[in-house]
Amino acid sequence: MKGDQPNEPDRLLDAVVQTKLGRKAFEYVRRYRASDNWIKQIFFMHCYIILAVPAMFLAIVLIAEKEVMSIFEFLLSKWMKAPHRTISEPPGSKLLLFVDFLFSPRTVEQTFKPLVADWQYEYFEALKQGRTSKASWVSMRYRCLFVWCIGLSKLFSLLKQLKSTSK
Amino acid sequence: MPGMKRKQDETRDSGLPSLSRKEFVILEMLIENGRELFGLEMVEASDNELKRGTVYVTLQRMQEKGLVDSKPEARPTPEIGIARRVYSVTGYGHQVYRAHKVAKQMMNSLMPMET
Repeated sequence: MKGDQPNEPDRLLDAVVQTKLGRKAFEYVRRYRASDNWIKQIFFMHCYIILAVPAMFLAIVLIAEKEVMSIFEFLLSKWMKAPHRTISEPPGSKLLLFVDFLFSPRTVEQTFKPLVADWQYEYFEALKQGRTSKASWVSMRYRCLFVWCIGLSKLFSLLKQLKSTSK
Repeated sequence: MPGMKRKQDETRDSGLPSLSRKEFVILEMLIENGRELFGLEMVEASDNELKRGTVYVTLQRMQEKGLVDSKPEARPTPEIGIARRVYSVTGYGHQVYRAHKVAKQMMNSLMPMET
């Protein structure tokens, strides 16, 4: 009869069981399924979960660590190559060129150059000590002082002119 | 410079030259230290009486009056940046300081005593 004939998977299973290794495995499974030891039963029934979950967790951790490390390395390389780490010219040199147009050479020599000299002195001292944040603070502070100094010098020169014209 | 020299002579001929509080502090500092000083040293030693932004404007005015003299600092080894200026008091600066000090003492002796 057609119904008595084993279907394809059953025939395959039979073929596997026929082999020596297959027979041993089948026996192993049957023995532990029938075992009274519930720990062994649980382990056998859910061994794929018990093994797969830590494996997946480990894989996720490894991938994440690799990603994090690569991101960290990328940021570090960017920071090392950032333009603020390289000094192209000393601070204040462009501002000195600017005041050259506004004031007499004597004023530039006696007022603005000493100010820029102090600026560069403090800036390089901070860099020598490895205090980049202090160097930035010095730069910012002296920029403000420079502008203040321009205003003050212009005011004094105007007062001087007024005094000389009134005489 | 001839213009500057003439101005100094004019100031000297017109009696006791004017001296602001900051100018007096700078002269006092230079005389009491007995050596040349940087602008930044004066600011740090002045206990907030002198400011970084105004000290060089004051020093330039004093140089025009002939009270102080300046020169770039000597650098035995090449360094980065502009050379800083060192300031010293002139003979005229000494005289003006002494005169102002005496005037100040006289003014103080004339002031009524506080009760």
